[in-house]
Amino acid sequence: MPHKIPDYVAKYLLDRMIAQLPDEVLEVLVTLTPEQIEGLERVGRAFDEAGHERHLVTFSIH
Amino acid sequence: MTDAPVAELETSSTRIRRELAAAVGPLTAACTALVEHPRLRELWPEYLVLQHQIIRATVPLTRAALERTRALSDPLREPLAAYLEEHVDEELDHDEGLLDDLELLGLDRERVLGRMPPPSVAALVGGQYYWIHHHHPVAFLGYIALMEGYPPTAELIETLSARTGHPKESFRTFSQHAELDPGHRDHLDETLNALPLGEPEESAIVESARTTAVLAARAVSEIL
Repeated sequence: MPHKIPDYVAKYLLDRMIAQLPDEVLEVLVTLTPEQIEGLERVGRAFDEAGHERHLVTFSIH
Repeated sequence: MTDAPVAELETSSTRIRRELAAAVGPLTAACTALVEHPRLRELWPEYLVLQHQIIRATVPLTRAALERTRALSDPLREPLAAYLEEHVDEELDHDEGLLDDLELLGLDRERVLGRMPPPSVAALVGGQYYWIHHHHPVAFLGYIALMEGYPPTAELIETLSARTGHPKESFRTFSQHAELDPGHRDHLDETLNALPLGEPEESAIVESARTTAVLAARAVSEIL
């Protein structure tokens, strides 16, 4: 069933460039208040500032 | 001593690899999403089935390219045919190895072979047949460049084994490619640099590689 995603949650997902999210995680995110989302954003920014980059992988076998 | 212009020092493989690096983004996104997926354990056998559907076509595709190359009347005929002959040997029985790995994960051969490959796989492989038969078999080198250009690393295999909880023996084909494909990639690069490639041939290889990146990414994304 589609979730009603609050604007501030949608903005958070967009800002963090999160395109694929498990339903279970989205169910939690949509229950958070704007203040709680702001807290998540601060944690994300702290990871960015600490230089913790997402580990991208590319692989193929032939 | 005067430095030669950079463009004169560039080889075909350097130019093609640079174009590949710019085009591989969708495949990187799909691979990363797979590895980070919370249901990776269940998705991994699906990914291997997908890889089998692709890899089972490698030797027939190479043989089709070889047959067309032998019918050419241009300077590429001899050196390209020599490479493709060797490439058949490099790729023989890899599909069988994947079936063995899948059996270790509980998927028997008949079940895997009985599944119809999705349109994305048909497009990925079928496009190569089209270019081989209706354009020029040299385009197939772009497919090989992409597919062999990004072999799994030992570190990645460790990560996959830990995250999926699947037995290490079921990563045998992946481990073999981690070991073999860097050498195969070097073999292709040496071939690209030795072939008498003009701009149209290089463009065909790059277009084929770009298309391979997009369609391989689509195929992986569809199982997520």
